[in-house]
Amino acid sequence: MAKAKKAVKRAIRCYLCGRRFEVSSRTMSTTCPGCHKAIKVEDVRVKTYLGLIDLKTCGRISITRRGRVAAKIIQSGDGIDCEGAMEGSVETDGGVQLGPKAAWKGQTLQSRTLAVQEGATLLGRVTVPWVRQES
Amino acid sequence: MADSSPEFATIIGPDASFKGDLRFESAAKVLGRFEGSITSKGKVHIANGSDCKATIAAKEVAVEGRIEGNVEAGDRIEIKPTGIVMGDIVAARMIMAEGASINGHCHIGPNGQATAPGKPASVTEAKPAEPAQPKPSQAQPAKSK
Repeated sequence: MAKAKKAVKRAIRCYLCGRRFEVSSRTMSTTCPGCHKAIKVEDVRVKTYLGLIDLKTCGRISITRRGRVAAKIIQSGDGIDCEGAMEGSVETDGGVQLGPKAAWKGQTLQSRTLAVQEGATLLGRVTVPWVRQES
Repeated sequence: MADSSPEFATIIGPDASFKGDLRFESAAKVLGRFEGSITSKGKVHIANGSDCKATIAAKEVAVEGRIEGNVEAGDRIEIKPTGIVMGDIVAARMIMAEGASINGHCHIGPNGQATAPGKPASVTEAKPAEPAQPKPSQAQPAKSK
């Protein structure tokens, strides 16, 4: 008899209500059992210009060298890797890594950790370490 | 104990507590407690375990300890994993290690550094105003029919 593969679970936290729950590692989006709203779980990779109101995901956001994000709020559950440019308030439960050619401009940058390589530019208020308040 | 390397001409030892304004020409290392302001044309190193409630203006700043106050680095600021900066940072370049703490406004970039320490703002790149010349496009003669 063929053995059923055990699904790998991944712990996430809803960026809308703060509820913690588990999803399959292959889940791209789901409905939060706390607020019953649709949330994005997948990792986001930005390779070109991306202009939007909010960029929110429970996964990780990666911005490549040619990538540029312009949003009011950039929110990530797992952290942000930035080699390009991002504009807007940044909020993440993970860490933010800014590469040597990265640029950030916004009102606030709040993250658990921040690593900045020489050459990166920052303009705005930085609060590190930052922990989201439990709802 | 205090670092006896020739890199730092001035060292404030770990058992020292200083209150006031310090001005250096070369590099300085703070291992103890400091309260006031530090101005240097060289490097200022805030060592691990030191506590500074100070405004720092220097060419290069390295932070391993705790700074409570604004920091202005003409060239660059390096914040090590144990470094804590509770204040605004203005620098041309910044290197920040994972684990370091910042709480304040950051202005990092080529235009981040406003003026070099010890130089007044009015001296830097002051150019005389050019005399106003009339634009040829604005002074077109009216066409006669």
